[in-house]
Amino acid sequence: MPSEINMDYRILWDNNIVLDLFLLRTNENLYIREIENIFVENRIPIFLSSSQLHNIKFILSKHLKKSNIPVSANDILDKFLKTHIVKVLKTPSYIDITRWANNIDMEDELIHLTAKAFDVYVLTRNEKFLKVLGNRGIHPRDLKSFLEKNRRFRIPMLDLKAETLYQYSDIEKGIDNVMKKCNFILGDEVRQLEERIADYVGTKYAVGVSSGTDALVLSLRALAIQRKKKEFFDKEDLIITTPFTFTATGEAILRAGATPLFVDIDIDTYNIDPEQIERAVKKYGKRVKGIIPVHLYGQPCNMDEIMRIANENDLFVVEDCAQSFGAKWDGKQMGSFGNAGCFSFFPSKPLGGFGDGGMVTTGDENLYEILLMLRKHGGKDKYNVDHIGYNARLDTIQAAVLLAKIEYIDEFTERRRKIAEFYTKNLKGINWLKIPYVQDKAYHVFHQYTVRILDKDRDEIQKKLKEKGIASMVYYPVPLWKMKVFQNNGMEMFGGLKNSEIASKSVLSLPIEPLFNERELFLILKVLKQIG
Amino acid sequence: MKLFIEVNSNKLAKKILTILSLFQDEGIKVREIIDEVEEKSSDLTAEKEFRNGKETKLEVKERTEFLRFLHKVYEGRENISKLSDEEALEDALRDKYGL
Repeated sequence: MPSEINMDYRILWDNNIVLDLFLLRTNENLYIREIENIFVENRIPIFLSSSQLHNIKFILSKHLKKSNIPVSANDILDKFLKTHIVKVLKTPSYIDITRWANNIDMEDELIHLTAKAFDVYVLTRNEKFLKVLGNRGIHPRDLKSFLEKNRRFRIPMLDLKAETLYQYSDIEKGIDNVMKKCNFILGDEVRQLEERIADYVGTKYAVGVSSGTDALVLSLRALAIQRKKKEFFDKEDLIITTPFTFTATGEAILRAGATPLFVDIDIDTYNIDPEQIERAVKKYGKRVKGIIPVHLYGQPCNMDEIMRIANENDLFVVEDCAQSFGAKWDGKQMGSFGNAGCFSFFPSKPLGGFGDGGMVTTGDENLYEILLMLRKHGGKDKYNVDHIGYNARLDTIQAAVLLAKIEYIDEFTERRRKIAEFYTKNLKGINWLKIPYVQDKAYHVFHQYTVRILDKDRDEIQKKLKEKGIASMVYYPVPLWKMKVFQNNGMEMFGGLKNSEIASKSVLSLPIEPLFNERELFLILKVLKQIG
Repeated sequence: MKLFIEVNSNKLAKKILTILSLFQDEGIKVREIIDEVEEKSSDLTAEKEFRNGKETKLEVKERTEFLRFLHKVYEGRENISKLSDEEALEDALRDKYGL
């Protein structure tokens, strides 16, 4: 079942609580066994500020020595770390240093500062400190009622705060390195991330860019330069894509000078229908230059068929992998099939940064070289350029964050897949919604768990979920062919695009946070069953 | 109406109660049951037996692995030190800096 760590509660233990446990001080803290049991049984992490570590060890050693206990502090700490989830938080440097010269308890001051910086509560039995902490403090006798009162009954789509805290130390280390070196533009971390992602996806090259949208624009521009020997595509050049996607996919085609040719989706997978692609290519002939399949919600498109059609008709393929990092088709990573794979590191994405970022993967050396130029104003030498380029580099600091987060990607993907499995198993009995269909060859990463509402008003269902505190989202409410930007700037439509319209009116994405625990999932389930 | 479900582990009992607790607003008084379960499976289980009219402690079982470890290394004792944390820290610092 989902998370082995309960990130609903973020509580830092003051030194006195840690030592109460280590020394079994039941005279001073009646509740210490119960406290420990609550944290262990509910898999709640124990947060500590880095400033606490040395004093706790010092004090513990002395207590043991004075009491002639034949066990070392190291043994106790070692066992503690092996049997609890302990997360260390950085003690901020932005303390008001003048307070150092005041008559205050510096130890408490630093713990308080850490708690404020990370928005965590402090468990302490020090009455004076509790007064300073105000609402942020919890006395051991109040822990149970605190947990009861603070149970999460509002379920968000994602909990980026919990994810960030979960991965904090690794991210902090990466950011500190960049701050130390101040190599903010195309620093070592960008190259390291490119190598790491090329290796992960299984392509020879990867180019870090400023967003997923720019990854698409630069790829298309590079293909125009490579295949047409022109800076941009011509208006009559058609690029096939799905109308059921985020605007960026279609927008990138327009920005590269071509015209999007919208082809309908398969209503079961919500991905572009290869049969329709083949028929569109037959109809429009040589005007069609390429295909952009979007692996929507994390489910791969049928790449066997798409690559066959592309190869038979000399079309390029640019995969839109914005939602599909880690997804595979027949065991092969998405982003490794086409001429280029375009990834987004938008914060909510499977691999999300601390802002915008993107990556293009490719096995084509020539395309790679053009991409390198385009992201840096259009030339190998930025003071003497060859092409109409962009200022579209991936920031070093984003690369550092992503290098830390990529170490968690497989664990988080597995968590998402388990949550999806839970939903699928438990939603089967609800006849007014259609659970996602997963193709046999697809390794779906469930960036979104999207159902389709049948015979009911989708917006009404969403409203009812919201009233009960459950977030949900509609990706996407308007198919691209209905948007003014495409109607006014050029598009072609193949067929009626009926499925894209049906999907836009009926899909609903449910919360899928990798760190959700069992209780939260049962709550979503209960509400869904109630409102139907 | 009361519903009795017999299960063979605390873990399973807790799982069922977690699910039931979601229905508290529909009049199911789960809180009371949880308190009862927690009471019964209290932190320390001391099994006692009378032998020849004398009470003999047979087994003391702590609930968590860490507490069992402490129980073993402290040989069942609690409140290990008489020192205050301030005194212990002062002593430790004195040792470290040779004061």
